[in-house]
Amino acid sequence: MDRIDEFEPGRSVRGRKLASRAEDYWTEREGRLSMPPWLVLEAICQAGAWLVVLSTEGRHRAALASVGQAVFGPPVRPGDVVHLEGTIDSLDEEALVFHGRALVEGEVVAEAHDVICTLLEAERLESAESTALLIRMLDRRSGA
Amino acid sequence: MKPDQLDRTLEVQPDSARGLRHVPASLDVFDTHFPLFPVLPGVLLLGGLFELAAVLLQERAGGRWDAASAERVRFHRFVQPGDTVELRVTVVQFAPDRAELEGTGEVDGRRVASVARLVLTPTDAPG
Repeated sequence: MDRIDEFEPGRSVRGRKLASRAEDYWTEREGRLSMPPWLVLEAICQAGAWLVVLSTEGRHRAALASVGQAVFGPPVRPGDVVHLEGTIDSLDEEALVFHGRALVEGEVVAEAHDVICTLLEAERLESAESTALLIRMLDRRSGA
Repeated sequence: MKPDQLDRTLEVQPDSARGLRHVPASLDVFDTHFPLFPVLPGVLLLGGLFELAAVLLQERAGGRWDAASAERVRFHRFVQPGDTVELRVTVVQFAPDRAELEGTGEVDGRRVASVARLVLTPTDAPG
């Protein structure tokens, strides 16, 4: 995820992934470049992970533990803006359960249900300064 | 299609396939995931299983097969730099327009990932 547009603590997040030809993950599908569908799922999972970071004020990060169901739609192409939505089903000290989807121009390109992330102490993974920097870079809500 | 989450196909049978995915410390993903605790993002293992399934289906039925959906995807242990993941897929149901497989990933004989259902559908090459 490249940018956070909206965030409601403990409830939901909206953000975006900007798909650029300059990135190195592209694969060819139907004769055109397309983003591998599992990376679209990763973008949805990152939206969920940021729900954890922002809801816990940077104290926790999230590691993906399971996905109940993921469904992939039309391919994501270079130049697409992938809008990401994540909604919390439950969040406690140990785990986040959420669902989310990814859309391009209003069309769903992937959705994920019953996604479970394990919460990890942020300082075990990354310095507090670097987590704070990431939050500042991503958080583009108006006035933030 | 050139797989990028599968380093080697070890064996392809009509109903099952095995492959390898190495996890070198030099992967760029470890710069951010995470600086003090490098872990391979689980979705990349899911990608490797889909790519292995696509190799099997292409050998079995021809054409090109793409990921359509996945169910009950579980990551049991962290996969870290220095690991080699052995990926296996087994066909559960096959039809010319849709295939269902199950998949697992193991490191040193210990399960790191499992997927109850990987669904792939054929994509026709452009005319």
